[in-house]
Amino acid sequence: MTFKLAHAPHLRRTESAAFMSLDVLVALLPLLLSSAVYYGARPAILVLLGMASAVLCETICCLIMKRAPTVLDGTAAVTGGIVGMLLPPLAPYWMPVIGAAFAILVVKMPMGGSGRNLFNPAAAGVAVLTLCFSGLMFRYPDPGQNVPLPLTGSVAQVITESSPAAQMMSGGQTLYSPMMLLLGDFPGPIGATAIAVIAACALYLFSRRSASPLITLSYLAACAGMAALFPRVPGLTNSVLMELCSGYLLFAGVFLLNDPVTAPRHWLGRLVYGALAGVLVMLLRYYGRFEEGACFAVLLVNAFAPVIDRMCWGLLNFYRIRKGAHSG
Amino acid sequence: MSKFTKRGVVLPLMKEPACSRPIVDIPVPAQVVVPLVAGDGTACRPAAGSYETVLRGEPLGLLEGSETPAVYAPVTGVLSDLREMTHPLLGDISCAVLDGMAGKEEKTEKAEKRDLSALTAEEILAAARAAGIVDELDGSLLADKLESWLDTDPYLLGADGTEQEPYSSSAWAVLGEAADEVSEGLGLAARAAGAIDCHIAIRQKGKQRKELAKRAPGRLICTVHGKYPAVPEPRSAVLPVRTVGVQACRALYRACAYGEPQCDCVVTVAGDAVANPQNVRVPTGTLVEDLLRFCGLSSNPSYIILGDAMTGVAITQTDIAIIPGIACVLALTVRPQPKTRTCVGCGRCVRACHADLLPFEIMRRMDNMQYERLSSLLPEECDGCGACSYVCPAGLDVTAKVLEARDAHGTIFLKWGDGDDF
Amino acid sequence: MKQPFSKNLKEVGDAFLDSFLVKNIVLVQAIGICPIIAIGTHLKYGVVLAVCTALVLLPASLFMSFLGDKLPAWLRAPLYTVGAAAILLGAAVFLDRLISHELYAILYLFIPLMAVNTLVSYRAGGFSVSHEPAVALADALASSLGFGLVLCVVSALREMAAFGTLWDIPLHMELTLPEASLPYAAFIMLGFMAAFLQWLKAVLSRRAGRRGEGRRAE
Repeated sequence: MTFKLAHAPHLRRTESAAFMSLDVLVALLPLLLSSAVYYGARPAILVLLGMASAVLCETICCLIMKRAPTVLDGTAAVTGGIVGMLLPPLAPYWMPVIGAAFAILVVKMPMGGSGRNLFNPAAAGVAVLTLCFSGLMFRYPDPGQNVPLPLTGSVAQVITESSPAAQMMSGGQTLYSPMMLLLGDFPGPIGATAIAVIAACALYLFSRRSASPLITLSYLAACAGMAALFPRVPGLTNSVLMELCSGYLLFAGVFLLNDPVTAPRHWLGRLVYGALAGVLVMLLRYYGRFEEGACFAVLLVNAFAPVIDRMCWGLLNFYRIRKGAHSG
Repeated sequence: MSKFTKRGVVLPLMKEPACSRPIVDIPVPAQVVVPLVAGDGTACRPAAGSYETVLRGEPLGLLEGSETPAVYAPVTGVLSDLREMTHPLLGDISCAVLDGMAGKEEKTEKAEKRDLSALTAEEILAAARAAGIVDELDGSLLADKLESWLDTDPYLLGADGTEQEPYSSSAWAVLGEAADEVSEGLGLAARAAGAIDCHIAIRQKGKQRKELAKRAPGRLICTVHGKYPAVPEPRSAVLPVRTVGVQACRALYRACAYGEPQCDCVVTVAGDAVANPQNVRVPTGTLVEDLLRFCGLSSNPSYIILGDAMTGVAITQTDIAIIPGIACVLALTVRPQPKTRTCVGCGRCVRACHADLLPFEIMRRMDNMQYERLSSLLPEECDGCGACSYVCPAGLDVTAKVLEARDAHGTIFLKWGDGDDF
Repeated sequence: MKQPFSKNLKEVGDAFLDSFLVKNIVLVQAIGICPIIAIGTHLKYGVVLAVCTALVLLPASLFMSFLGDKLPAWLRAPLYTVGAAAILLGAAVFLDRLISHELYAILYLFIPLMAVNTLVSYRAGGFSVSHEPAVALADALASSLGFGLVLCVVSALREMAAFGTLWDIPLHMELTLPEASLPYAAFIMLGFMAAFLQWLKAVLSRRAGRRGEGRRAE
């Protein structure tokens, strides 16, 4: 009888590595449904196109690079889905395809592929779409129309309305009741308007340990703090509420920042990361060119995530490291 | 490591049915391969000539250059051969092969039980050294271990019967059989090593704990809660705790009271390939294959592991001798492991590490060969508990990489550079 | 210290290939990226800047190679920077008066910036000081060519993508992407070009290895 060699421990928890992506996909489903209530089937088609494009690009890349296909760990589908979710429901069908393709082909696979990318590919895909097609990216339909968007043909005749974020940037403000804000009855990206649904999804992800409450809560606290200190609209609670609920700030805090590959793993690092991202998002809103610059803020903090991780751990273990350096 | 830390993992305990069965003595094996190494690793020369009969308990190996016995014969038998082998825990050693003779009379007069309260620390240490007692927790010589703790800061001595790993139950079985001997031995060890106080640490609570307390009167029994790897200390402890093994305490008692050397050890045999999982008392030097044959194999195992599931060493041949450092032998057909992928970045290993390290970062730097940046991550603080690999959903061998980093400490690799002299 | 003087052509050739291909100044050593990102949006600008770089790097390298180690270390950098600035002043006047005023107006800031580019300080101040003139000249030529080639390729691609022209000649392309003139597009392009260079080097070295094996086998 021959026996095999293996490293200790010889007992493992049998949890698949795709559980995090599966949880995110499950969490995105109610957002899609809530968007379908207002806009019909078009948002779903956009998101599915994004997912399909991302999965296809990753498969092709893995074939070219002669690597085992990593599509099955679900991260490509999540990337494509998130790119689709951050588009306006009026977006042309080629937008999610191009955004997801850019995310996979330029930001994910050349940086090392699944599990090794430095930047959040979905944020990069949304960023490039925002830069190149900013007119189309911020053209939101009016949800009060209660008419499903056309699935084929031109969408030029759909009535659009400027989103709360755009109004705050230009100085005006339409009043939205808290109920309207929670249910998503205002113009915005596909998955980013139903605030109550996003909060529920966030709680689900926290309970399954697929997203970190440290990141999201410190991010929201930083955003709220900036909104309270530097309001763009009159009234403290009004300012905080409007800033947190407009654009895709909350969506970015729950889905973009919690990407496990690009986020820090140490608890203090996560707090600092979330807070830094919050400050950057608000600064981009005040001084940036676009009404919502959360994707750029996410990319910026992604660059600092490894440093934040190491520095926070080093800070907490300062004396241990110094002792080790002296004795070792 | 704080008592209140929530780090660590909850391990599934698979101690039944071996735990509730009494200890079984293995019949004297046909061949016993006794490593001729003293407790500190130095090689010994055989005390008897070829084909001479050695009785159980008599010296088998003498220290080089002296007549001091360091290895004792675990069974009565004929010294038939000297074999060189590579032992996974001891390295390249030479062993004495004893052909066991079952049924032969041993030294029948039981030695007088000496007065233990009169023994001084030096006498206890000398008895431990003469008996060649090896601590089963880390395989080191008990006398050396106790001596090194003599003039240090105040501490508590604990007999570690917690057995937090999934399969082993040998310490609990020994406590069930001879708790009073363990307790006496622990007291002797505390005296020898200058400990402030001593206690026996177990996982069991309630009725089982009360029964143990009855059998070991006067000894503090503390139940250890907490995730693996929990520190075996009483809840109110303010001093650091140092641990010795339960079987080592019992052997120390027998060495001091009766002058008996440590000739056997209790090993838990478990795993899904074993027909009769149980605790077996084996003479030192019993081969693994004999032990497995005694317990019976219900199916063909794919892995044989010396040690328990979290820290055991997998072996490829079964003609390995069992020494007192091994408390568990596993025969597994399946080894549950998730499919190996790249690191997902979930951070579970950071949450599981009780030494407050960053296992994923150490693994990343090892993979990228950035050895010069490893020392600032403190890999030498790792004690190899295996919690990080246990929780990894990507099935990576995180523990093995961190231990590799720990053992490669000091290796400096030059970073790739241009060579430009600017 | 200086390498011993040798008229070995192979050594000069090796230095040239080294700086041009193996350790390309932009794609491998990541020096001199700033002008490419900032102003490398039209082929004309790229050509002008490449010429300016060569105008500055060649004399500076030769000068430092001949006289560098005879000067105290603190004097070298100010000398070649001032010299470069003087050359570029002449070049700028030449560009303005004799070639095209609009071109000069667009490249206004970036011409004198070439004098303090790390390109000059690394190759002239770092490499040429300790190498003999022939090798230094080869290295300066290779660096200028390497930098110029990458700059021109990126500029041409960006011009075609963003404005649909090449050397101001309209190409009648239907699809243009005006944001390709933004810096991020240049960074991405440089990244892919660097990867392409690595792949090229791997292919060439594999082929050379096979050839070497074949020769050894014979």
